[in-house]
Amino acid sequence: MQIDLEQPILAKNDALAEENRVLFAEKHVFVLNILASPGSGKTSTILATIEALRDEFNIAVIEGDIASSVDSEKIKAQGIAAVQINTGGACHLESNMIRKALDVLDLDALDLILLENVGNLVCPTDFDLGENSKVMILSVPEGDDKPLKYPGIFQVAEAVILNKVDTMPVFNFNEEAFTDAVRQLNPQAPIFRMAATTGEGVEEWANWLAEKIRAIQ
Amino acid sequence: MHYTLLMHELGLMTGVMSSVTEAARNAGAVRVTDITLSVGEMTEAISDALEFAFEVLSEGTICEGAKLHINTIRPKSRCQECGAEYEHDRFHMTCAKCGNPFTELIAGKEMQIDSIEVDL
Repeated sequence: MQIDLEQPILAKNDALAEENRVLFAEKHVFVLNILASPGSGKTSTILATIEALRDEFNIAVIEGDIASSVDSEKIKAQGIAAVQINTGGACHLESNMIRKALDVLDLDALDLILLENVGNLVCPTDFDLGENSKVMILSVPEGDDKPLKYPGIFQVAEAVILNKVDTMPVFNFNEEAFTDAVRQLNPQAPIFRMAATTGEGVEEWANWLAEKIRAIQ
Repeated sequence: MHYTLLMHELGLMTGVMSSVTEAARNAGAVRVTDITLSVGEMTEAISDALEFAFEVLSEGTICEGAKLHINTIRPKSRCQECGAEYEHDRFHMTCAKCGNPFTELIAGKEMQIDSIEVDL
């Protein structure tokens, strides 16, 4: 006997993501899902973003890692609420994990939640968490060919941050080839050149994000 | 096989197995013989890894020995300028007709359980 299901494989995740989305909208909290490789500077970018926006917005961070609380401790040291999710081996965050993390945050008092996804250019791409926007960070040492190898993540991102631009002279990074490849995959995404640890380019990125946050308040 | 890739497909297949098992039990089935999925080329799911994950997860379940059929869906977009609909690969989204970069993906992101075949 044939049974027709026509059911999304990620139906459960997607339904929970939708609930998260409704909750975020109700509370006027902007949620940014940050995707990147390990070592690309996700945490440094988050710290620089916090520094640039903390006068105007109340910010919290949800940190996803397979193990450890190294990242959330760095955030807490800056006086910002941070929740650590340890995925215990899973290669991405899922919407039920976000839901649990929300229990310990005061959504009424927040304007912005930065979600640091597990360092990975593949798996997080397919999982909706209910966020307002996805952004991906590529760092110069990773190489200009990454859009060709991991097209999916460049396509789901609303903006691309090219981080560690201060190391460009050392790594023989072909910025034109990189920009062309990103344009092919995602013509509408702005590319922000940045060096999170020196502060270069942070203002332009932070202004873009601030506009988005204000728009939902 | 790359660890995170396998983890990814294991996660996806766990979802498939739980939906399929529920549907089969509700129908009073004793065995699932076929499972048909549609997977778009613009997703990160890889057919070989899905099959391997299925073999591992189905062992000792109502799905053991079932045939997994995966329909691969080619990416297709619609141009927001000239309205043309065209197939493309993963890397080139711009309109095949007029070259406009502003396009909307209309196929290729599918990850769906289409149907199952069961023995009652």
